[in-house]
Amino acid sequence: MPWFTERHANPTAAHRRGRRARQALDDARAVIGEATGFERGEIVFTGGGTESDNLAIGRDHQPGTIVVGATEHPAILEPAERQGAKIAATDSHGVVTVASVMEHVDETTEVVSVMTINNELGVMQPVSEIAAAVHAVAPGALVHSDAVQALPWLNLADLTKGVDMLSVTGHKLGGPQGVGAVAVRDGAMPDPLLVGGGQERERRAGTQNVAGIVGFAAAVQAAMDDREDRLARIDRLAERLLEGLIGAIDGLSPTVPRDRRVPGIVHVLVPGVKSEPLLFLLDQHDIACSAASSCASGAQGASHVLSAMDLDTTGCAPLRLSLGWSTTDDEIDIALRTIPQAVAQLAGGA
Amino acid sequence: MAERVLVGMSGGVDSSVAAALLVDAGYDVVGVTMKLWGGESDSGCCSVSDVDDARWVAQQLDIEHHVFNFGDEFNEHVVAPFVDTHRTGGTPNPCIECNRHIKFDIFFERASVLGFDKIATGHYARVAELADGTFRMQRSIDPLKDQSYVLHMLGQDVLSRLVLPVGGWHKPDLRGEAQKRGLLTAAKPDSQDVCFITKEGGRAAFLEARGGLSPGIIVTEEGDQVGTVPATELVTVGQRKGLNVSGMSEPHFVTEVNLRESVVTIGPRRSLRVEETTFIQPVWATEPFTGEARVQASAHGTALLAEVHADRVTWAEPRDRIAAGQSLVFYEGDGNDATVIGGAIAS
Repeated sequence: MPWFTERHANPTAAHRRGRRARQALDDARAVIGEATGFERGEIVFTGGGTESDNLAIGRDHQPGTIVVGATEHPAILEPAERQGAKIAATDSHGVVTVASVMEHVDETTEVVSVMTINNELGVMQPVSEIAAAVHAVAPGALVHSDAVQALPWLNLADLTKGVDMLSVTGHKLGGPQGVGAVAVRDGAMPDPLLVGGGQERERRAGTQNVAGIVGFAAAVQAAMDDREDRLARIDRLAERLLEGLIGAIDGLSPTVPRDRRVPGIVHVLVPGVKSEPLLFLLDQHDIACSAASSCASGAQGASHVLSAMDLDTTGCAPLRLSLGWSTTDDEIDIALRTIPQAVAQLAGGA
Repeated sequence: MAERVLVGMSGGVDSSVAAALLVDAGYDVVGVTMKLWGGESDSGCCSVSDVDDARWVAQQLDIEHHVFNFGDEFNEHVVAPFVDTHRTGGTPNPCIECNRHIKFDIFFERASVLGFDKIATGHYARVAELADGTFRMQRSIDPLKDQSYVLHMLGQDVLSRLVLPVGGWHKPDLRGEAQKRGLLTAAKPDSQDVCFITKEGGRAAFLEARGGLSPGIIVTEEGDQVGTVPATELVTVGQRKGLNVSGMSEPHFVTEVNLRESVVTIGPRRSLRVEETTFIQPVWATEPFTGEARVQASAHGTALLAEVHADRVTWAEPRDRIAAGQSLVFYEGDGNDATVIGGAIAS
């Protein structure tokens, strides 16, 4: 909060207050660097995951020179598809395999993007292996991974070895919305989206959101500090939730095998009901969850991730339940009471 | 405990005031915007800005607002039949099909399963309870805005659980009320057109993109070819304008549209006159009706005296032919207090 009040200053200013704000940014840069396995000078702060993704995909690519996974976030898919990207298929578990990416990669490939963990399903993707395979065929290609969903759970430095660019943001681990970063290997920087002012070493112009960035780094630091304890705790809660739902709702099944996903996302298919009314009822009980992705109007759209997996969800409601650092046993109890009740109320209805 | 009502909020002024009046009346109100059409549109309907308008009004009223996505159902029950009816030479009324299948069926069912006691909309019509305890759709007190015609298909299940708060209002007063309450939609223009047809492209562009259009010829009743039309699908029985036929001794009107052979037949006014109109798919407020009624054949048409039979109406005075696909609505009584007995589709 001091960065909104007594320490409020422009971090590019040369005066004492400005220098202090700049130091706060640099400290934050070091934290994000450590979390991602990049040098602090390779961290570019942005206005969030979407901007980081858009920046990484870049502009003015020739058709066919971008390769992205079919289950990427729209922040990757849309800019990529506008430039004639090739789309790498996913397997039935939502994994974009090395082979499916390499089907589309040749020496002309410029950018490859596969997310570290799928945001809807929580499925881990073999990004480090993909990076190695791509670089063997196209040494000049930039391999990017959207690690927004992975940052709270995984040691990115290990998991994304060989990746040239990584998008991260703080709001998946309790940080403020509207702040993110893209880590970019030295010399690999795509053209900036914002110019005029030279901030972030001319990679992202505009006065930095100091308070937001400090908050982002604090959330990341906290996540790194207790990652193992938290992982174990959330893993146990996620298992309880999944087991409880399977026991209480006939025919309910996990969408992907448990050993392929991070504990923070429990994705299930609920038979015999529709997503929209189910979410409505859960919302009435203050259970905030989602089915797929929300479109701009607030209407529920069909999931492009489930479509890409070729999964037949006819007559089923896909339900994505997210657990985070603040989730408690009591909340799992409430979910296990409420969700089966809501499903029973809706069974056979509209 | 207050009755729970789910109100459809389109983002227009009528449903905004409807929601406000429901709150005043003491209902536990939740607002819903139905996302129906996902394609190209310049009517503003179902656009993100319409949803925003509805949400902002809900915020002003301090009620919850949700969005229900009925896009697939809308395509299946409204858009596809609209195209099919044109392809068979008929003139569909998509707003009626939307009310029949979406707003007062799927939305109504959704409200029921979610535990709501009632649904409400901003339509200009009233629900009347008769002495025997049954319900009827009744005309709005504003004859210029009356929408009982497009709501004629509602049965007892819906009518008994439907609230139409603006049916007792005249439109200018309602706008004044919206202004007085400071509702953000108070000055928003009325929507007029079919939500999925663009002003720019019209029905022609819409149908062209969905299977093309059939050029046809225009013949007289004697079989003489007197002209051509670029799209037989867009010609309606009773139409006079836009045919580019000259040299007739008296005004000629379309008397028949034969899509199979792409032939449009025209004739003088007298050839258009009919004494009866057959119908299909009748629906009734309570039970099937035969006997004298006033029958209205378009949204803002005049209800004319007729005898309703099982599959046709016999008009008290000959009248112009009604295009297949248009709805006939049977009213008991005259004026603003008239109530809907039932309706059907002209065949």
